[in-house]
Amino acid sequence: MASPKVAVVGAGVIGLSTALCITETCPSCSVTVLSDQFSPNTTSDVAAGMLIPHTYPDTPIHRQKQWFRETFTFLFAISNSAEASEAGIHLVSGWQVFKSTPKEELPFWSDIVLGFRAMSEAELLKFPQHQFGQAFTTLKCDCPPYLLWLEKRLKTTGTQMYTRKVADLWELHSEYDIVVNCTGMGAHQLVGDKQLFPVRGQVLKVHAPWVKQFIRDGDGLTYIYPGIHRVTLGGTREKGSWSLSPDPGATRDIFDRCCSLEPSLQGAQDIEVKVGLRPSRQCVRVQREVLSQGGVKLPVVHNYGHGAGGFSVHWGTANEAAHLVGECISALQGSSSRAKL
Amino acid sequence: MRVAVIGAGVIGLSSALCIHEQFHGLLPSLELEVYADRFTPHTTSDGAAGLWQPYLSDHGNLQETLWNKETFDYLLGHMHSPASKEMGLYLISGYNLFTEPAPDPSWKNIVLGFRNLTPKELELFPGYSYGWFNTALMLEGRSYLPWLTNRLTQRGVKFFHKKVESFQEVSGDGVDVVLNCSGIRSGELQPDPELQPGRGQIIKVLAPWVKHFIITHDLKSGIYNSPYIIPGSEFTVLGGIYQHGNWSEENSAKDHKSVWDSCCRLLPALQKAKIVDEWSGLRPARPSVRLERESIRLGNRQAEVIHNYGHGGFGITIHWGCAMAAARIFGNILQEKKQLATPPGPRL
Repeated sequence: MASPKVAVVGAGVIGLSTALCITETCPSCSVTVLSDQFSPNTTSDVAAGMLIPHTYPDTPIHRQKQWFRETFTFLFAISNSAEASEAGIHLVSGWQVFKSTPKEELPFWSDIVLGFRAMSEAELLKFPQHQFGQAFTTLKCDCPPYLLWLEKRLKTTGTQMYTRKVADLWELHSEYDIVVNCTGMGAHQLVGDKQLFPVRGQVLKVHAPWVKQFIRDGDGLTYIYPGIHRVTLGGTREKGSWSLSPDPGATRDIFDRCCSLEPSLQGAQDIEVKVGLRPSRQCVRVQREVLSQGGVKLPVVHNYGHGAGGFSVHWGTANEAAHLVGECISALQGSSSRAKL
Repeated sequence: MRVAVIGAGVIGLSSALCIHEQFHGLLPSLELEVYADRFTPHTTSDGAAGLWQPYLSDHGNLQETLWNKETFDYLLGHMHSPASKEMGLYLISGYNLFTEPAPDPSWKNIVLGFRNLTPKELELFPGYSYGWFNTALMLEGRSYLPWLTNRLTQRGVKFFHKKVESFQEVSGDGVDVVLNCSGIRSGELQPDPELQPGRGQIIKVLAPWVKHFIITHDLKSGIYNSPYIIPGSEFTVLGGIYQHGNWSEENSAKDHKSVWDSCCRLLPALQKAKIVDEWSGLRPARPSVRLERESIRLGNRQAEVIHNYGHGGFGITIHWGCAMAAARIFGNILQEKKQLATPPGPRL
């Protein structure tokens, strides 16, 4: 197999980063990205893109930590380079505050982010309703810039990108040797994964350029994440809701909760409301599968189900998926050489 | 009781406000007038980035450290008020970088979360082997000065756009107290060889992805002669010039290149930042702040002058502590003149 043809379905942060990893681990591959949506209309574009991991109940912690570490290292290098502003990657410091001291005071990722420590008494004075807090510095991926930067890098490798709605993976078997499924919430329909469920998130993107620090409530529901041009205020976690329409009641509630953490937000301008469906799963599905139909085989690599933690682990799962693609290629080459005998 | 304030930078306006707030209630006849040839946005305070941070060492000047602390605590107390945005006041974290270990500063317990940098953080800054991280405050002159002006105007304080040539000029006509907040040009009102310009030059860029201040230190070159990057609410300030004795307010191409090159080396992403402005200013440097009272004989009258100048590159950092001290001196003057109303005692 001289030049395996790989189709990556999905152009959010998972699809684009996976495609890029594949071009790096398998330079002889021809990679094509197919998606019905590209930036700025993907779920990734709604997310703030903060590198603060979500814990997946059924993925071993060491694997989640490895994914996060690889992602952090990758983005750290970009943030420190001349490309940082174009890629939308920047460092941001801030606080995670808890109304009551959490059972786990040291999360698994505390030694990967920078300068992690408990908040001092003086710092906690700013949050009269909160008893405990953690201060650290982490990275943020602003979208659309980050996705556009990934697209730009992909184009330099010769990767083609097409707007196309893939209704069935088998549509692709005649044109492509391997299919990589990075369809996020779309996998529910596309591969019938009933373990995948939406967790609806509504956010406000506001103009408040004096906000330089992030503040996050440990319950994950209320957060203030300053991006390059806008501050993301969140949010909601509505399990099982498929609605992409903004809810005015939620807008008011999010704004009030954020203002109670940071009163100066009362002066925020230009409030934009956005909604995304976190493609949630008990564990991220990074897995090889060979689909079979009427004697024809189609190797598939799945990389979806990142829920609330897509940005935090994207490069790690992209690497893993790219390795699985490598395995698919070896298997194909093995079977094709067998066929020659 | 008429008080003339000379100077409308952060020191003049805040001292005026502090005095009016404390004494107008007790002395309804108190009239304040502010005289200045430069008002916001043309004062030295407007050019400053606005970061609250004293110099590395207070040289044993405990009084200044206390005034710095008073200012920080006062500003921190305003953080939760709805006025903070209008004041140009917000929290900001960042880095102080050194090429060798440095002793902890006098302000380490004033700021929030002061700690040393970890090895991984130092990887961000090749060439620097030691440093601090802390959370401090920004108080942007371009917002704070208009805010102070509004508060003063609401209180009936009058403003006069004129260059004051002498204390005599403002102290005639029933003015009993002159508050001298004339900053770098105090020497024109009364010679002071200890007051010298500490010339700075800054470049303002659009770099909204920068969320931290980064201040480098070269312990041999002295303060502010090493690159610094301070993100404001609209622009990011790049600086690193301190020229003692240089009175020029013209931008220098050589200084521009020095600031630009050194800041881009510190933060490579700045290479893509768009330059929007450039400015030079004169820090009113003095071995210590002059904050004291002087009785001046002017013709056949005596006037009390309260000097409050010489705040170098830390005017915003120290301003409120000094304003309060000036107000205390003013209170003493009022007591001496028996101007403070005391309730009549029983007539026996």
